[in-house]
Amino acid sequence: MKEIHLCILFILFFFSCKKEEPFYTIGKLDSIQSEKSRGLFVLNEGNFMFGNSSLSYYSINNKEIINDIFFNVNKSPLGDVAQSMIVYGDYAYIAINNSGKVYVINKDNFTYIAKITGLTSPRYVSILNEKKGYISDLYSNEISIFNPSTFEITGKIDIGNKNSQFNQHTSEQMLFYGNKLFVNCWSFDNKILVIDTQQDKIVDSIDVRIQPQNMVIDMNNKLWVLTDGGYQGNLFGYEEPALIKINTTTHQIEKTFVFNNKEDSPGDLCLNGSGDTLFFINSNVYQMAVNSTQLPTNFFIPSLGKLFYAMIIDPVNSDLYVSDAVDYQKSGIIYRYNYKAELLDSFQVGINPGFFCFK
Amino acid sequence: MIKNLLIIVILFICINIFSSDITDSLQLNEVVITASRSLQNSALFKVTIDSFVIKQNKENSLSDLLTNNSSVFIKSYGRGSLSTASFRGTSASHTQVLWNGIKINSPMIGQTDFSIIPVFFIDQLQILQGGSSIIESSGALGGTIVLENQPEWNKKFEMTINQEIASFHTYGTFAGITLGNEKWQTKTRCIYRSSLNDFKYYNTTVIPYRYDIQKDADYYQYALQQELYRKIDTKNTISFVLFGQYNDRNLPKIMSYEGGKIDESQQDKNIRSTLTWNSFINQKINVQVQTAYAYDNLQYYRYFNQFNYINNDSRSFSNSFFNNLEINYSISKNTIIKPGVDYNYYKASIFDYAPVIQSGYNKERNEISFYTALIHRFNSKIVANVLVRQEIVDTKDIPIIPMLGIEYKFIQDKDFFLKINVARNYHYPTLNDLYWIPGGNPNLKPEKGYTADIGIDFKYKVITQNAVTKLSSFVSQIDDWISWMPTEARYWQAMNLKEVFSRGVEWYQKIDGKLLKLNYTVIFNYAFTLTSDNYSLKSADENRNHQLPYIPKNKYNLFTKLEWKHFYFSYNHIFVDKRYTSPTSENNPVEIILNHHYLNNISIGRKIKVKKNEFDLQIKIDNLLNTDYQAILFRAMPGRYYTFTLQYKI
Repeated sequence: MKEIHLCILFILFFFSCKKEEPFYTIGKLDSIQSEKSRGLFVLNEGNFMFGNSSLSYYSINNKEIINDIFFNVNKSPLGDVAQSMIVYGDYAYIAINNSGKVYVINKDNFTYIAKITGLTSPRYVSILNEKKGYISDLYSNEISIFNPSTFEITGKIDIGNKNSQFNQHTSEQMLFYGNKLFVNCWSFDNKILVIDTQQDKIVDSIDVRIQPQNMVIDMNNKLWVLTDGGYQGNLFGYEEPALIKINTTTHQIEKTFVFNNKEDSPGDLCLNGSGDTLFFINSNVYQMAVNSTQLPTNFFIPSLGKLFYAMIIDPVNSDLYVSDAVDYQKSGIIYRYNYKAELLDSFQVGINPGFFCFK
Repeated sequence: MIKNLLIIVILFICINIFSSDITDSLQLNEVVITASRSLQNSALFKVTIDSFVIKQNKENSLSDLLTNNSSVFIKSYGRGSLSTASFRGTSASHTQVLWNGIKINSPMIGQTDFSIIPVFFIDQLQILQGGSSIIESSGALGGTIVLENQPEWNKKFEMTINQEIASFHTYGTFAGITLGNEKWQTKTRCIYRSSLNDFKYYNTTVIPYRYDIQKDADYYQYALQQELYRKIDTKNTISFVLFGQYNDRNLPKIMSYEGGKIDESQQDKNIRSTLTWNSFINQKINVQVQTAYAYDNLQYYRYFNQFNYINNDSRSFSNSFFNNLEINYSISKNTIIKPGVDYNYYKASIFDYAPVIQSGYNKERNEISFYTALIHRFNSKIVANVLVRQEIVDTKDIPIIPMLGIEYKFIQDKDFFLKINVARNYHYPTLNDLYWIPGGNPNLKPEKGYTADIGIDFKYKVITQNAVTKLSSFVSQIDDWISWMPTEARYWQAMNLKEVFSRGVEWYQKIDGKLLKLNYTVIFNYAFTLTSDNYSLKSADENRNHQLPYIPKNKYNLFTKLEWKHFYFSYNHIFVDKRYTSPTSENNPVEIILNHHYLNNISIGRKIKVKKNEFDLQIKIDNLLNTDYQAILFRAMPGRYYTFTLQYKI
């Protein structure tokens, strides 16, 4: 009788082994070497709440794509909805929107350097110098100020609007101009905030149309803002999207190009290297010279059933890279065109390739 | 924790040492009763979960019981979190759950959350596979799980109280009382369970890897069930069952989350009641009339504390009324005809009060179903079971739902049957699929499923031991499978999209008997499922024939129970094969695969009887080998944990 009790005790304490490896397998492990030459990062969002975002790297010289480089090198997944990234100095800073953090990796060998955690819903990172950078956010009404060398949060800029039911203001993209930082307030909002980067305070705000989504500054130092117009049932409003040209010194709107239909959903506004031509996706890819007097009527690259999702122009040779999200569930494809809209190349990447970044 | 465990183990040992002097309870051998096989359930593919398996899991939720002891695959978001069933590669809304004859799947979502169904309230549990589910209702393209309560007319009085203490600050109290005589019986059962759920796990989704304690995953549940049975005379019985439960849980983040604090919680309130009158008009005719009501309330809340920002404040309510009349007419001893009619009415509303959402819907649904089953025994070997349903939902006719089953008895005196079952079934879109704002599609067609099953059902003896083998193979094709897909209009929309072809094998094996002085039972469930999605939407991959996400190709579980004098021991071994987590192909460079895993659970218990008082002490160790595993990608699961229960019964 007593022996049974002893046996029980033995059994209870005997099994204490632990497995300390990941319980999942990601992708195929390609060998990664340090890549110092020119390349293009493709940031794949994955699906919301699934945690399956990933980072791909396209070597422009070798015309080779390597997928899942973050996991391959660092043995841990990138996180949930990787929103955007920026290359500065030796590092690349990746905002992982639904994981509340920014990952910092070495831009050549992709190894993990540091992380900035505790954020709410980080969207974009902009870096002024080696001591100061900003992280925008979709839910907190604050822009975080951080040190890109020590990776610490050093302060916050409060951009809250207590009078609104729409949790304003949120911050999205950020562009430097002199001592100013232009920030678009996209979610349920219609403003561009102007922030003084020495005092870290709002000095002006520009009223634009509903939901400004993207911004670029062209060769004439004009600020271009693309609004998405809201959507059916949006409590803040629903109108035609527009492309708005703003003077960066006076903050006055110089010209507004309104799209024909509310159902248009233009996005992914970007510039070529010389800053004289705008490109955007509105189902198809369109191009528009900065001194144009009207919106383009003919497409530059037709979608032909593809789901164009994000885009970038190579500043060196004006190649155009556009991603196809396919069905938002399967892995996406990147198409590379030359400046004459001729297809040069295509390659498969991760799920929902939503952001490009050159290094 | 180790200190607590040591105290419990020492207590356990002491009680055992001191109790050996007390009068032992009689250990009765299990008697196997082979009644003549009734005609009613011929040619159906169904598995009955053994009653001691139900007892073994009485402190658990139905989710744990099914995962560990059946061929149904349960997809769980974590301990205490949402658990849905995936039956033969179909989706959660294709598995219907019946509680005492009424459908309890939410009319809005179409699913049932198995994690909040307490096993303590279940007397009988059966699984109807594939087309066999049509005998109870339409729409269960994968199958139906049948929960039943029954009177125990022999029991005049019984009272049980159960106290459970388990790891991660988990506590449960379970109590029940039964009173009655030959004419009436009342049964009351209630539960209170709570858990902090602060388990430790090894987090390999952050850099550097580290041990984390699960946060924001606490939950508690109150539940009550009242049954009343009345035998008016030898021909008429009335039963009434009332169930109510309240479940409150915090929802944890995925493992890779390292951001600011977000509160996410869900409250579930359910009330169900059913009144049934069963009458034997004469020896040939039996009539059953049932009326039932169910109330479901689900609240989901997501809140950013730092900024006082409510992201979601969704409240949904549904009131469902069920009515059924069924006549069971034995025309002769070889033929039974069962006509019946169902009339169900649902009223549902949902609204999200978050300042930037402020939308919802308010809708009703009427369902009428006429059905007839005809069961005929051709000769001593062959029985056919034909059933036809005609359904009308909101004045729309659904095409006829037929089922044909044939049973063939191989050898005269042996319990060895060959069964075939073919059926066509329709699943009507849920209220959310039709009316959700934005994205609901009122033009959706019902999902259509064809199933065919073939199998053998064999009860036999191996030397002196009893054995049961149920081996079946199935194919099923589901067209117009409703999927929510993101559209260019910035929101997701419901569409009749997929064409899913599933095929597989299910094997149920049971052996029980006595070896030396040990009573033992061994139950083995194995399921092999292959699914592929052939829908015609554009794809980057050439390879569309890819196992659907979260469907393992192989899964099995083995349950062994040993009884020796007053001791009992059980061991549960579970295997789940690898699962894909997205619809991409095998060759896809970024596919994330959840590796296969094994789980082991053991329990040791001791029964003590002091005159009429029965005590039952049990220690359970789940995940004995501390396996690191996930049911859903990046959602933490606990390692090894301990449960101590003490039951008093009189």
